[in-house]
Amino acid sequence: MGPAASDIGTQDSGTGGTVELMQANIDLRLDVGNGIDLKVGQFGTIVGNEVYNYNENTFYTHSWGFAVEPTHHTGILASYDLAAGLTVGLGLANTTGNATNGSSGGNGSSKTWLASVSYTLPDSLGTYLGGSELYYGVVSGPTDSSTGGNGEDTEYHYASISTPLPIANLSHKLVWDHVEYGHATQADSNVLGYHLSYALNADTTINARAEIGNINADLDGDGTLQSVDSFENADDLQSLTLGVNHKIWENVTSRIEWRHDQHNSDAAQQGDGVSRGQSQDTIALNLIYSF
Amino acid sequence: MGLEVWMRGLVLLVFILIGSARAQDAAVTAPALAASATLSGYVSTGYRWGPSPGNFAYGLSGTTSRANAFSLDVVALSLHRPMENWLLDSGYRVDLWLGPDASDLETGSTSNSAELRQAYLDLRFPLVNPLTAGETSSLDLRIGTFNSIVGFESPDHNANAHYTRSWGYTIQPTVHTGILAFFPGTGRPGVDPLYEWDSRYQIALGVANTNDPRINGTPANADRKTLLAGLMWELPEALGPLGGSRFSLGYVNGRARTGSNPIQNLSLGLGLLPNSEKWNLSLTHDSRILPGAGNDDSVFGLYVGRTLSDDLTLSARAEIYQEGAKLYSGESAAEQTDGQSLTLTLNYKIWENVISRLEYRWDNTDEPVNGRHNNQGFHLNFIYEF
Repeated sequence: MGPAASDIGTQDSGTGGTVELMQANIDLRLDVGNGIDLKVGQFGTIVGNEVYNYNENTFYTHSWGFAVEPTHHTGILASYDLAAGLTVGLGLANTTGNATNGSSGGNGSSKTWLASVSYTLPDSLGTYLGGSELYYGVVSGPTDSSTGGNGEDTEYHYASISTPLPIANLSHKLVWDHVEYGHATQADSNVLGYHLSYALNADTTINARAEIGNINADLDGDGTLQSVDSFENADDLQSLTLGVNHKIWENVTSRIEWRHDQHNSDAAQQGDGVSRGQSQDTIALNLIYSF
Repeated sequence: MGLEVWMRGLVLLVFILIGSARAQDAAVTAPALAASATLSGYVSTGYRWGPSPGNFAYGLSGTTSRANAFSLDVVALSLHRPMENWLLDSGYRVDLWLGPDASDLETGSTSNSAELRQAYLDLRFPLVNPLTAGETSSLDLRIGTFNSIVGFESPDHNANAHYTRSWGYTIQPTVHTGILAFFPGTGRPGVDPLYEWDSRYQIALGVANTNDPRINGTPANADRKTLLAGLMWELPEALGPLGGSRFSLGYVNGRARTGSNPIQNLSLGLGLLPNSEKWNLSLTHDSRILPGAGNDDSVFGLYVGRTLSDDLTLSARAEIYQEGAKLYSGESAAEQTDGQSLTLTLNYKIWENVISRLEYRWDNTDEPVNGRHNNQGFHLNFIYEF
């Protein structure tokens, strides 16, 4: 609920309102082998490092990797633990788009498929490899009936790796978002991100996020792709976010962050007639009460 | 008016005042009453499949936009505090729908992903003092936005034996905003008098703004109210095999928000085989009567249920419909037609709290709808109830 509700794009038609569904699904378990877990309905995607929920991300502002990936699907998703630490996922959805009950071309016959694999390396591999987490996910299919259809599938890939570090309280993660669009004229998007986090003490954590890549995506969902001077067409993208998360109150996330974004596309306008140049800096303060 | 009637009225007034004093005494227990409210609801999701384009022509048989696709139907949330005793008592219910089906309710002025499904107060006026009379009797009032008294099926997916809705449902009003009185009130705490009652009969009378679902909607002439009337009657045992069967009659007469003509909606239902553990059988008739000749829509329905095991139920619905005006939105004049429909649903309980069912539906029309006389569809539906 609230102003950000319309941003998630899960409304089935028209423009979003101030109350929208974030997720609505049923979890079912089939008693097969170790147990196949099914998720049926509208659910969050399997690709990407971040999610819409502010309190589940390290930073207040979302990454560019998040911006180019889908966030929701309507369909069915199965996951199965093949072995200790090894989990695979497979799913089928209407579209790659966020719209609940969105339909694709071909009278709905063209579906989106989802697949993922995650593996946590065993501790027996040693201090620096044991406990490392590897993940890969892919979503392939049409976006919706207006922009996709048979033979025009878009592929969304996401991979991540995190390993233990020799310094106590320091953690890191390398993530890669790669999108190959079904439209022949639309170039790929690539965003490589590196996340570093250091816990100073039980209450304070310093976080950093660095991203590089190039973006060719309709980020604002208006159906058009800005050709010049927009982060919708951002070559040589560079982004750095630094944040401090300090726990002052119980159940409250309190954080401040600074963010710098830049790219080398021509500086003219971002589609609204306002010249902003090639870079932007942001300082954000965020308070979240979690219950 | 005779003296005896006046005396009865006086006794009733005194009793109500006494009950009111007790209710005021009970005000200190308001937190306890608030705690007795329950939050419940369900999540409904499914998949619809049809052999080829042209199916799912009728909105409630699957909706064209969801053909051959996964669907999230609705997240339904209900906050309910039922009436619990036979003195002056009160309760409330607020039902909220979230998701794509919310706008189908048409209770809001615009299409939204969140809409009120029902919201009303229940008020009880005891007609005798159960502490001294040794019996209970009350007049119950429902005020706000509530379910219509006509129709066999509910807007709620989990309340129906089938996933797709009947043709009878398409021509009947679903909710009204107004006031509805029940006599006698229901005898068991927490039981909705609209659907269950303990006496041999129940009468319902009410007044609403319109016969359509828009909350607080009014016709062009707001003084023209909609009349609601219902009778539920349990047939006496003297009728032999029909004894214990339940007959229901619902009648709504009023105007929609638009248009100046009155619309009459009538529904008849007869629930048979009340003592059978494995079978249930219901006959229904729904009609919508509009001014002018040949404008009436009517649907005859037969519902049969067979319990095959503790976990498996087979339900069948057969309908014959005669169209006079319009059976569904988006229908063209050339598609006005009579027809028949058959729905078979296998409900198999796999998980606790989950309705899992597979449904086959066939609609046959005398005139082609969307270019076809026959429409068939398979539907898979999961509902989690909490």
